[in-house]
Amino acid sequence: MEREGITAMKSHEKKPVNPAKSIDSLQGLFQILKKSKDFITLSPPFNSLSIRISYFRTLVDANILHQDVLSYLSGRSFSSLQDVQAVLSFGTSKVTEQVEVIQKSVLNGYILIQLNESDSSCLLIDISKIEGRDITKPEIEFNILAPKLAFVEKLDTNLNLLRRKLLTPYLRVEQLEVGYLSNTAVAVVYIEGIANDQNVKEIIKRVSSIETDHVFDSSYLVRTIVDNPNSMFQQFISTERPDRVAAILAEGKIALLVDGSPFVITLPTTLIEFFSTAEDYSIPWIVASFFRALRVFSVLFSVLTTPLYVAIITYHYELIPKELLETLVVSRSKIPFPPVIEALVLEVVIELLREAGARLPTKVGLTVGIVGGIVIGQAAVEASLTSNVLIIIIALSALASFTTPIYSMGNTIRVIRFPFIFAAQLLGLLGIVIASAFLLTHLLRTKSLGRPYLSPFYPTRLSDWKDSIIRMPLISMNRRPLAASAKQPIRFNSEKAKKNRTSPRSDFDD
Amino acid sequence: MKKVPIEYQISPYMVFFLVNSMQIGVGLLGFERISAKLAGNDAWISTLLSGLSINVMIWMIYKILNQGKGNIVAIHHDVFGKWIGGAFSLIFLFYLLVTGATILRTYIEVVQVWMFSIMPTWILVGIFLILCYYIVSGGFRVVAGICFFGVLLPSTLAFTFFFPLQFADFRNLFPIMQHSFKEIIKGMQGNLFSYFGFETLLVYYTFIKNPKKSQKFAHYGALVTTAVYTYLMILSLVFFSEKQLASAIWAYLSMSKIIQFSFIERFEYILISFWAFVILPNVVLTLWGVSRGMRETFGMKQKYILPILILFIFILTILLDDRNKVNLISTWVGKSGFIIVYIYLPVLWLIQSLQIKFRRQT
Amino acid sequence: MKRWMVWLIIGVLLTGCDQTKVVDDIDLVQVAAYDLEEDNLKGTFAISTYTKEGEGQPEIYTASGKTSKQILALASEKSSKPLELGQLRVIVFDKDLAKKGLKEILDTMNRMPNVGNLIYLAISNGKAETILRGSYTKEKGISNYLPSLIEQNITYGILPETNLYLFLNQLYDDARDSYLPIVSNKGNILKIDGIALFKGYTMVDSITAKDLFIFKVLTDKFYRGTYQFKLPGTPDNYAVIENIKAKTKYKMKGNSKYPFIDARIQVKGKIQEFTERKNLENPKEVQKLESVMEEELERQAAKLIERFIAKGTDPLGLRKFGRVHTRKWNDKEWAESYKHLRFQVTADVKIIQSGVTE
Repeated sequence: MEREGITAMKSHEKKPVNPAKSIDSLQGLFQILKKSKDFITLSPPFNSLSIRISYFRTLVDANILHQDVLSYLSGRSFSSLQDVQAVLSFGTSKVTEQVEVIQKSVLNGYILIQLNESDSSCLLIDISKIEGRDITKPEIEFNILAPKLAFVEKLDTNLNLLRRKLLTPYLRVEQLEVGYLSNTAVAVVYIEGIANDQNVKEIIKRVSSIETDHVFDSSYLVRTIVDNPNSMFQQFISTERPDRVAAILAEGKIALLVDGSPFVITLPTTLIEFFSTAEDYSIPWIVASFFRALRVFSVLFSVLTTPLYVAIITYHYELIPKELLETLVVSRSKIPFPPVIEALVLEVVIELLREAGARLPTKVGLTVGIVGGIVIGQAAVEASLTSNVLIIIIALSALASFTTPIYSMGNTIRVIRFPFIFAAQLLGLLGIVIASAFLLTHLLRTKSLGRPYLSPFYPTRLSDWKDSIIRMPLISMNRRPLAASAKQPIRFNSEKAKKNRTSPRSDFDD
Repeated sequence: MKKVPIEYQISPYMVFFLVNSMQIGVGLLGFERISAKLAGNDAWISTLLSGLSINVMIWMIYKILNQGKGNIVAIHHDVFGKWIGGAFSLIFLFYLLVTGATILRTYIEVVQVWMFSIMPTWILVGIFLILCYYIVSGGFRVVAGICFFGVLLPSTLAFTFFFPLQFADFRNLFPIMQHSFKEIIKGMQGNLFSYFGFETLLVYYTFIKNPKKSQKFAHYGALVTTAVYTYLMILSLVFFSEKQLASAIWAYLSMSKIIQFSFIERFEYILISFWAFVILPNVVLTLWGVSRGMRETFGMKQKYILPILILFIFILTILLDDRNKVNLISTWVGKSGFIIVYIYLPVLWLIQSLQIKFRRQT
Repeated sequence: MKRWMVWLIIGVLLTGCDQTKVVDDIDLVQVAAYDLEEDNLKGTFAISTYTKEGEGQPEIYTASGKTSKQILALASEKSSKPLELGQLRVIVFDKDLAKKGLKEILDTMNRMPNVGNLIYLAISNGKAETILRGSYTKEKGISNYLPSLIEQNITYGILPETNLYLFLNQLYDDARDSYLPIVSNKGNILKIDGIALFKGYTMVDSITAKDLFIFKVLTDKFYRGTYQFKLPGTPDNYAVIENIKAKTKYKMKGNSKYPFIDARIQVKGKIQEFTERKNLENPKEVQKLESVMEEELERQAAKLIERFIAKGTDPLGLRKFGRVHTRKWNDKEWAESYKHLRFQVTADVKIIQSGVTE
């Protein structure tokens, strides 16, 4: 008996405290809500009935309350809540007895109208006021030749932006709630008939099985449901651009919108998607391909140059050509540290500058950059603490890491440099190769919503290569990427598109 | 025999990469020497012949596998019964395992001789085996992915095949067919071992979607290997003089010593390091194959077998501490491979075919 | 199981570092020289000292010993940092040493993986050490000057292509002999003096710089270099031709017992300098000039080949032509018949341009 008692107690302790669940009557709810100062209960004196209106002062629009609710109620008498509902012509109003619904609605800015204090059924009317900022330009994913709209924190506004981009009845929005404290609204958006049903089911299953108290951002939410949470590589794309989300939805992928977050998550994704921008599709394909390739190259450059410097200077001096030998030896000659320490110190300094710049307001951040870049760099070289060759290398590789359009991928790239530097110190060039093999294996093992991350390279989908490192002409993309495993793979009729294209003829063709 | 779930399987075209990556390995760095010793300037003919004979063997392996239900373990079980069949499977798997260990050890030796002369073997082997564990524990698709990239990434090094041409003296090849047919056949001994590795096909066969469709890809893979090896044989014959080639342990590396760019000298260091990508599929696929085979023989989980296998390779490679021992085991592996591929497999095919005929009649 | 992996990783990280060779913590030997000193071998190693102002005077370390490896070790005892051969670019040998044979040193160099294959070998006219010790201009220490000198003369000049790989290749090939450039220094100038001819590992003869053009025509196919022809008639009448494309085609007739070599020299060039005023627009004049040049080339080439035969060396690889083109080749017969080889040289000169002025 005693034992059982103990185990029961233990299991009780482990359970998360979830006060909301314990409320089962309207009375109980009122008792809890009344403890808050901003919860108001009115019993207007203007009519004989004991009508009672309750709401959160901070959540409702006082103007609407006064003009459209109280003024209509005064001087009338009602026999039922349906009468009240008929008088107050609001779109979203409902009569219910369910405590859970009542609780949720009140917390969302509904007013609660009861005819009698003891009535268990009540009328709920939405006059909520949501504070938030206006729509602004995208700041993190800035594009020059693309729409200049970014998502904001309001879910409804975001959905509005999205619906405006895709005026189709098949755009489906499924709404879920996550977090027993925050009760955050999460919208799963996809295009019915194009998105893969299995993916949709999987994502809804994963979102609804989240166990947490509150959610403050979309990336926070998704971190808990990705395939491999220990991976440094994001297995989803978080973007602030409605145009990008619309394009991704049209490919047959799924978007997740979280209330309170200006970032929309799209799934499944592939590694190469992180290097594409909306702009790529609005400039000529040869130019776009060049920039794509440049971005991919810059990743390799950013990850590999510092380790290569460490490896070659530490172990493989044979590789240095005659002309460069002098420069390298001279720049290294007075430096007291081994190359690896030199490189690590400088890498950390660059990271410090970046972090400081990111945390400070824009104007001060600029100063930090100047101070760090010019003053510290110059002084370090003059004091023979670092070689100027390495400063060039590290500055360039930091620059290269900023070319990735998706911010968080840039962070990943900067972090994976460090294991590479250690590997280079350990085994020289061989160490770099082994570290690359580890990275490659990791990418091979990573999956996004159960789909391979390295697609279209492995598993090889040659038809997807036309929108990977290069971007082929838009007319060739008549099929949706296989990586999205869309239900309807054909995007448009390429034959028709080709026929409709008007190209000028010359005498050569006739 | 339980069927392999489709989400673990690979597309038939992947067999091209699996076969090719298993064949091209450490052998490429120095197979030329022994052939050249035995067949002189006609060694390239033996290389070509070996490659073609390998294709015949692949054809036969597909015959065996298509007839049987499942991979080599299942076929052994079918043909010889539980105990004898199991023993045969174990011998085959042991051979595979030792092959993997030998390849790894040979590569480590190259690294030690050319780059890190005082680096202890166990560290290099240890790092490699950790990597291998990480790959194999990802499942067959990850292993196949490594094989895929193990062909794709090193193929960017193909340009190194053309640099030595600037010093090529094609007169070295003439007169053609100066050596007797017997000498040329003997010369095959020198390079046959480099072609081995494709026999892992016997294990991963059940992991191919539409295995019958994959046969042509296996042949393509082997043909590409043949072309590469024959080309390299010719290249080293025209690049080196005969005696020089006979004394060059790693002919390909010695050749790559002349590659020079304005921004990088001594390209062979990059080549050796990059070669890790070529070696990796060899070790990983044998490790996966052996652990899978053991799993099917003993019914143990691969999760528990793999650490034991890795420990075995670790110890074996440490025991091989000088050039002579490495040479000895290479010869042993080459001979066993020859026996298994050219003698045992045809016999197996014969017995299997007879048995199937017999069963049909009764 | 995860735990043993963690331990293995830690173990590797703790013990993993190989002996590092940080580029500024080692002394990079860029030019090495070997001299014969009675019965000892003397090695001299030049190490460039780089400073911010440019290349200073190289540090020189010398040591004597029996084997090249031992010499390196002995020299390393004198230096502040370990001597490393990975950036070696030229090895200079003393003439006496070359006459005695270079087998031991070259085999050692070939065995060492960190010594490149494209390094140059050279023979010094005097002591090899003096070439390293000479003081050259400040921007050009010996370690930059000597390799550039040889490289430049191979690509743009009339020095036949040589390097360690080619030397060894020809050496191991029983069908041809090799050759190396000869350098000497005068004051602060280095100079190519000619070519040393080898038979096996030993030097047997040398050719002066004057004959280098002909030599290169006979051995290499090349595109640059100039040659000065003396024209008949007045004593100081010369024509200088700049080579555009030159090569020699060999044919062997007969068999290994009675061989006959037919060498056809082809030179395409443009007139660079012409002391006599003649109208080169006139095709007849050009033809005349061409035939004069052809005669000169034939005579010089024949002289050289006769010299090779007399010394018993085969830098042209004639044996190889024989072996390739002749059935039933017999090496022993050839060795005998080479001593009185019959041959014929025909030259074909084509002047295709005469500059921008008439």
